[in-house]
Amino acid sequence: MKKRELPPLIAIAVILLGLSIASLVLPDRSFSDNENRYLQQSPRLTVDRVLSGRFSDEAEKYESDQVALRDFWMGAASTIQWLTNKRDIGGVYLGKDGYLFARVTEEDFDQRQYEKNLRTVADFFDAHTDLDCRILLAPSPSTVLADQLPDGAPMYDAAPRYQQLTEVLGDRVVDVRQALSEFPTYYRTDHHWTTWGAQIAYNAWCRATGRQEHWAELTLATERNSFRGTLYSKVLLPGCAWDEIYFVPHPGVVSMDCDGTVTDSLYDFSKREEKDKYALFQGGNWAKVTIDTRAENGRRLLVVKDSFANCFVPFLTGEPYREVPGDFERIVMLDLRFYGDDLEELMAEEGITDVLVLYELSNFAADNNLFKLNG
Amino acid sequence: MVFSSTVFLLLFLPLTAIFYYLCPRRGRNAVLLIASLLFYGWGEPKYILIMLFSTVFDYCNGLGIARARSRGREGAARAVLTLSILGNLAILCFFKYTDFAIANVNSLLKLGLPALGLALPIGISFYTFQTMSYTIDVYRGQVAPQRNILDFAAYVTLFPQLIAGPIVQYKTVEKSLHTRQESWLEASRGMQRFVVGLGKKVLLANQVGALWETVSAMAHPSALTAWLGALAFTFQIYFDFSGYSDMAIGLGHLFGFTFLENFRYPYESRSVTEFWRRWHISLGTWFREYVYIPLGGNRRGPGRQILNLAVVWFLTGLWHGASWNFVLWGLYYAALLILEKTVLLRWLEKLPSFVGHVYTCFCFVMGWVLFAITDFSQLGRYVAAMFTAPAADGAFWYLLHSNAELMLLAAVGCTMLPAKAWQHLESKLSDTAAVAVRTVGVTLILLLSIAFLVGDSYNPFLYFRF
Repeated sequence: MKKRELPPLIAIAVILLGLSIASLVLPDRSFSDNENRYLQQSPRLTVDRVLSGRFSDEAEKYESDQVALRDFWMGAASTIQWLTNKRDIGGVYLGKDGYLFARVTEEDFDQRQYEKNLRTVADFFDAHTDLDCRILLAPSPSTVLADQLPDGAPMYDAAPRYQQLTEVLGDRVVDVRQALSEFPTYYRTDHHWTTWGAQIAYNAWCRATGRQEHWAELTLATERNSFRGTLYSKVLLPGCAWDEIYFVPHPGVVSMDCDGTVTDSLYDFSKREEKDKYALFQGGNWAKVTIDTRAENGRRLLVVKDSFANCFVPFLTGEPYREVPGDFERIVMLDLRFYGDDLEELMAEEGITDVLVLYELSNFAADNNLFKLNG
Repeated sequence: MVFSSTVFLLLFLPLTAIFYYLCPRRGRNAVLLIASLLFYGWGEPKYILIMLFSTVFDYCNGLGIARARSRGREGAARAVLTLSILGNLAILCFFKYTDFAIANVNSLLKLGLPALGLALPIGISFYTFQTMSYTIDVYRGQVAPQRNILDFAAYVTLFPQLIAGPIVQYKTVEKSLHTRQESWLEASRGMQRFVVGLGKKVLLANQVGALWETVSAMAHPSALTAWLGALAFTFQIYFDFSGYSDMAIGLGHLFGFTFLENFRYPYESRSVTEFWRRWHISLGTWFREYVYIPLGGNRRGPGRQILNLAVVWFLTGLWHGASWNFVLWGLYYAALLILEKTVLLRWLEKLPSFVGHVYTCFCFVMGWVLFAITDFSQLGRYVAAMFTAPAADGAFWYLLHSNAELMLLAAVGCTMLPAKAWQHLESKLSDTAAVAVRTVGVTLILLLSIAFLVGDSYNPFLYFRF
């Protein structure tokens, strides 16, 4: 045997065995902050689970999720793709100036569901002509920040969709595109608009509903440069930018009831210590959130929404400390993905006077829960 | 289980290798058998039964043929062989083609027969062909029947080549089953080969595969986008398939087996005839030995030869999947091969070699488009886009910019250049330096492959139809 043939074999064996043993010995993690998801735990070995193939599925996930140095491997893979000019990792475009964009191409955009949802909302509004009903579909970041996309990157065209929106829902549409395009109003590493963006949208809504605009003071919630959002979690590029979260410091809130958990703040500051810092707003997504404000004007708003509404709603509560009254005395937010009770009953019970449907456009097109609006 | 997974790399492979080498020689086939059954049953445990049935069935058939022959009963030997072939084909057809047949009958006769919805047992097309080659060779007297069922089972289930080939004929490993001599030298070379194959699969095939997936999902690709996509699939299938073969051959060496080469830089060919001598060699060999030549090959006149080619390529196409596009793909090659045999090869010989390269490239890229898109209307739209759509749009430039380095690497990687460059470099270096470079090289490829396996979720298995 030639001795010089051995070193490559030794190198391979050391890497595979070393990684194998390290993965076994190191304690399992239950949650990955970096990826913002729960990791697979050690699978249970039973005859049933082996025969159904569930055991092997889970074992494969477990071995991959709990591999030693997982975050390092993922970062390395992304960095290499970045270095070879790859601008699309895990369904996320790596744009200019550190902007990340969820990839939604023409083919990804569910046109049929979109049209169906528009008609559903129109039917719902038509059934409630006694209420002040509005729909606000926030543009996708790629719509207003098109210049930051990688050149030529395929993306769905929002313009015809907004045109359809206006055709179906007419003057009940609050169009915020123009207002939003003037500011960098989206996070670079998260798919949401920033609180600035929400504020701009809020003022557009004020104009549309004949209210007086007001610009709240915003406070930086976390240490500077400390937030990397959902898009980062898909890309995991170590060189990604950092974002900052701002919030309205003194909203006029009396109490907030999130699916039965009552607090006196719109914010869950414990989320500042976690990875998904956007969950600062109302502590994340709930089926039903009821907010009582200091206003006493008899107006009660129903918000049918996705997570874009979470940082928007504080503006509706006013700022008593600056003598800005709230727009509503009660705000009921429903996330139809989780809400399953009778809507009409709820609206009657709560004495709803106003309705706002607030989604990000591509989210709205992908949502198949809107049917719950019409019982 | 597949090779390109952390379960295989970090658990199955180290444990199997350790048990294998700790075990005394005479128990090693048993270790391989147990490991192989675990490997096979990992995804679909119940299909182990089919594999065991297939093993016992052809073990008995092999012995039956030999016994009949030793008693001078040629007719009985022939009957057992027929039983073996029909049995194997029945298993293959039942699992692979029943639903295809039902769908065709339904659309022809306007019936509504329910499909069986069977999951295709992984690798069934490979191991039924292997066991058939065994009984046929026993019948032909080319190999002695295997009397030890454990050794025979170890051959049939041998996990390195079980799920994606190469199709290892029994006669090529007959001796190794009893008297193989494992060595550290061979193990080292085998594992290096394995790592190179892993790199081809994970670092190249999966990456260009993602590009193909993007392009094939587009409703209106521009012409150049469609060509870029077709090239991406061309690279994907080569690096995926030849990577699997490298891994299989490398693992074979680790356990002391030598499998025949399955790919010899097919994309460098100057004719389609040559391409098929260098692409998936074990399948071509199988069809030649067990179908083409028994049908008479080229010995019964040109008319019969053309018919034989058409039959072989119809079957080759169908073997790749139960769908008409694979048949079309097979017949496409039949037509090209017949054309080459009759006139084209003579012309090509007279022309400069780059003409042959360009012509062959065009043929196999178009071939892969037929292969990749199972739906005929989608196929029609895609081919139309390649030739009639506007040349380029923003999406094309984006995709090109985003994938240029990768595509270039793939283009160089499927030629002999890297191997030649390495040989050249090695000849200049001292032994110590050469082994150092080699060690660093495989270490890098392995580490990168692990990073992409863990970090990149796109890791398709292309042989679920086989």
